[in-house]
Amino acid sequence: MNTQQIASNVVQGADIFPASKIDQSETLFSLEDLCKVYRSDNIETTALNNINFEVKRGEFVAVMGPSGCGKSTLLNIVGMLDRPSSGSYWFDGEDIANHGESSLSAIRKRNIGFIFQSFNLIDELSVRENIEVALLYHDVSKAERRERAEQAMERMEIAHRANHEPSQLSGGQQQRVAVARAVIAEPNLILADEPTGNLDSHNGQEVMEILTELNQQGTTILMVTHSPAHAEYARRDISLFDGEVITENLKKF
Amino acid sequence: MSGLNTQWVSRKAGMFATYFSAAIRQMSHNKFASGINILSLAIGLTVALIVILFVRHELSYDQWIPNAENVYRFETKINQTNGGSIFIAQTYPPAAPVLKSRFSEIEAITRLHFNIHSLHRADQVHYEDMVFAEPNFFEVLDIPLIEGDKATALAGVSSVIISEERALKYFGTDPAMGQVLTIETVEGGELRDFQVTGVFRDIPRNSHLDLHFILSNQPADDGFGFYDDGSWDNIMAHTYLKLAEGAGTELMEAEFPALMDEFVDTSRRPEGTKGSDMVTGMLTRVTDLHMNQRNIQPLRPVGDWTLVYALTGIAVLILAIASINFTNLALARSLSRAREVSIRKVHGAGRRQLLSQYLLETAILTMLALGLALITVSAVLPYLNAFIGKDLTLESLLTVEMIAAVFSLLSFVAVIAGLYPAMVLSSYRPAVIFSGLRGKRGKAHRLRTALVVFQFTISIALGIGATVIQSQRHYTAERDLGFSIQDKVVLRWMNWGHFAEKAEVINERILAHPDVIGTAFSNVVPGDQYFGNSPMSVPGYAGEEPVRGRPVNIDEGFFELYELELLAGRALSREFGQDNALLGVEMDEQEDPVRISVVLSESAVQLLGFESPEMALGVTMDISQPLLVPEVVGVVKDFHFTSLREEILPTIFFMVSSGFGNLTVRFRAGTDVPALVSDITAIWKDFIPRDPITIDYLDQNIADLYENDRQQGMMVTALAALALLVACLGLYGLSALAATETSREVSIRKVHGASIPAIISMLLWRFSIPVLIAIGIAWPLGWFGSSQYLDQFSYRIDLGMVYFAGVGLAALLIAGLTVGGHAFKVARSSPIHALRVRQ
Ligand SMILES: Nc1ncnc2c1ncn2[C@@H]1O[C@H](COP(=O)(O)OP(=O)(O)O)[C@@H](O)[C@H]1O
Ligand SMILES: [Mg+2]
Repeated sequence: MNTQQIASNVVQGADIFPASKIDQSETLFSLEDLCKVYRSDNIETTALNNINFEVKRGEFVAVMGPSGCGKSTLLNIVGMLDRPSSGSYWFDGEDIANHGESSLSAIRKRNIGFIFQSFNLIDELSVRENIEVALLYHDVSKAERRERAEQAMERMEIAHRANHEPSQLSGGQQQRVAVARAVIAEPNLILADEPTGNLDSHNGQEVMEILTELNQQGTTILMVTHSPAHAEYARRDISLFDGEVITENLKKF
Repeated sequence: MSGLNTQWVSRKAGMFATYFSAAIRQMSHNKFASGINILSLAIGLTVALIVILFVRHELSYDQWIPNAENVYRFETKINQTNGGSIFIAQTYPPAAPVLKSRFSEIEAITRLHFNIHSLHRADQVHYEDMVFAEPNFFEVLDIPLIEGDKATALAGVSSVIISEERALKYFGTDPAMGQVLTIETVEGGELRDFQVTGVFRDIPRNSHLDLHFILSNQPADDGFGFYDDGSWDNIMAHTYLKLAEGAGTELMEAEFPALMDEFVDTSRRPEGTKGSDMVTGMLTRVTDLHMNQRNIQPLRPVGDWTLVYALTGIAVLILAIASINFTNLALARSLSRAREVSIRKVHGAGRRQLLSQYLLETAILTMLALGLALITVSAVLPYLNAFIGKDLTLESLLTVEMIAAVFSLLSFVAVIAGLYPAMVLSSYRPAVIFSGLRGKRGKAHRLRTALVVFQFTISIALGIGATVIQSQRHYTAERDLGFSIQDKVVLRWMNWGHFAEKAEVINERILAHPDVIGTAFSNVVPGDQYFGNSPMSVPGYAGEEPVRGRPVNIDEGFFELYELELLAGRALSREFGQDNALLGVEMDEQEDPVRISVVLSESAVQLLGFESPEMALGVTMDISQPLLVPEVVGVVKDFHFTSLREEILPTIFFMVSSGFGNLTVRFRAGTDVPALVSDITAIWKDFIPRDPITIDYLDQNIADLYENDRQQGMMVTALAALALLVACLGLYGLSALAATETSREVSIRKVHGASIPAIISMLLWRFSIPVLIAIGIAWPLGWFGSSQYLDQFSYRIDLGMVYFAGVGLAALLIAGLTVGGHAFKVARSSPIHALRVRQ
């Protein structure tokens, strides 16, 4: 039995999650025999090697592993920013291999929010405008966009900075803006790639609490982190090494 | 002490070498930006160098004449009865000796007379422009002789001195001195021999004079030279004089009116007319003749201050656009260079050193651009010279002033282009750069946008100007001139001596040619420069002042041939005795008035006060010629015989069956014209075997009127295109450099669902904003400039919205294509790369 099979057995057998409005037995996405190989100038890098796992709705999963083991690659593929070299990726019951760029883009903007280590805010835009970007390409009126951005800022306690530019904010504040942006479109899934990597411990903890709160409200979260302490917030963690899943732990609360 | 100095020098030299190699490394590291910089500057400098050469050439006219600052031409202003005045380069022949005796300032005064003559050499006849001169010619116009003696070369009555070029043409390698040239008068066909007594160096192109043959003046009234019988009646002698060193002209000019009162013949003017009422004399320095030419019929095309200023202005603007590329690309790269600068600063580089390093980089790029520009200019000059008919040479840059001018130009560019970015770069504080905090980029960004707006404003305004000039040209070419231009050739000089007697038979033979539809004689054809001007009035009609009209002498068939539309009455015809009542009449012996038919143009009829063309029929006119009583027998619709710049002149047609210098031949459409011309030439040869035929194409004759407009239109169009090219090069560079900066933003937007078309349109829109602002500023500028230009035409296009919208759209489109490539690339690239953690 390999680790993947163990993991899936464990997950399938458990009914240990606290009740929520989301039916947690339903699979949100699953990866089957997924590989990602980068080819550049005769060098082949296998970033992901035969990955199998699935994430159910409402789960909070942490991905851990040393630098260069393929964590970001995994998130990019799950986020449909990149395609696997082989294997399949099922999202919400659909094989995404059957979708073209624009259809993927539509699935993504309906379902997925992103949080990055380096925040990735647009320098030229104000905090408010940065947050609105996540609704800009949705069919949402300007007034509603305004309204929802306002709510998101309230929630992240950055409303007083609405008209500032990102460069005028501290790192913690910038990451709150990024989180506000990630949640404004009410995604099913948040992909967070080392969201606390650039933050001090206090700010890092705050971000983790926000993520936990979101998860409790039903948002599925897949988060990459180096910090074992932050991984503790997740109910399950996956360790990658050299592109392969080496362990899966299910924590009990 | 000296040891210290050497040390100091070698340290400085070492530093310079370090800067130099650093600069070279920077440039090769940034091949793209350096390439764009060099290319834009090279284009800007090419334009600037050509304009410098052109302006220098225009302003250098006749400076080569020894003592030029003291040499003047005595010219005449004729006051016309209608209040206007015209300027003529000549004066009365007897004026010269009178001036010499009245003004002690005049060291020497000499007269010239220009005319075309036939030159007989072996069995061949050549038409050549000749000038008859007095023996003291060289005392005033001291042109360099290669052979011969200035003191005696023009003494006697049978000497000729010729240009080097013509010596080569006619005598080849044989010595020219002592050879005999046989020259024929225009009128009598009389031949006269002249012996070559000198050869002069070819007159440079930058001269108002165009001399190849200088002959001893012939003192008699026999068709050679000018004739001085002491009467102040005919204005025909070009009169040049040399003033004593330091003598002014004001005092002399103040006395000219009194001189005119004293001498000018007023016997044919109303009682009480004074000489100074009719004419005024004035002195113009030879070096001012080219740029300040007011005279009708200049010896060579004259200069145009407006063109000189316009070209200078445009060149400065293009250079500014090129320098802005420099500044903008440097600013766009400044963030990535900030790191380099900061590291240098941490390691002890001072601000001054950084400034010098950056300026040195700019200087090296500028020199490379200059090299490229010089190569381009030398490659382009031969074509340009052929196009504008000038003799611009790169060698003329090799004077101290010119080299100084070019180098101050370069320093100007280097400072403009390099100083601001250098200041910005050297001002970075390492702490800020290394902390990864990026300051507000608003200011530099706004400056960049403002500069792009400036570049496009200039390009678009020039583009509007060029379009308007070209449209006006097109309008001119397409405009219905009121007569037919197509399918006509004109035989010239038909009234010359022995040609005149053959004119009729030649005409008959040509008429028999199967391709020929018709022919007509006239003293002038459309497109000719023609200044005839005659007062006309009809007793009892219109005001006191007579109408000034252009008398045109035509033979029958002229209206039909040129398709001039008759509005009333009939055309002139030999069938009616009164139409050519002057046939064979010697006016000098005539005592009783002769009644003669005339045809008026529509505008003449209106100006004379008739309400309709019909009403003018049958009336008798007064044309201030007591022996002629013209009766109006027909009226034709108005037509443009001269440039559309000029108002239509009222015209009066006569049929005086002599003095027809031109025979227009109209042929069937689709005729093989060269074959027809060679047939006509063969006919000519049958009757006039010795002398060559002179034949013009009528459409070309008319196009020549607009040759200047054509050249200016092409120049402005080319410059506008270059301005736009340089501006777009800059925009291209900016969009490429911005691509890295933009790709992060684009990735973020794509992650959040932006589609490729949405991204592309966003990026295009972003680059369109400066162009749109530029359009807004360029429109009023273009409108103002174009109106000024069009105002000089009496018949002009209307300034429609289409020019402004068209050029604006074109600029937008070109800018869009320029940045479109990068926008597309950025929009299509995968977002994951740009979103990776930035260190
Ligand atoms: N675009 C790419 N081209 C080539 N190799 C890549 C690319 N992106 C990532 N890699 C390689 O794939 C491996 C996994 O990278 P990544 O997913 O970024 O690791 P992690 O996020 O776990 O640090 C690394 O060896 C990395 O060098
Ligand atoms: Mg990573």
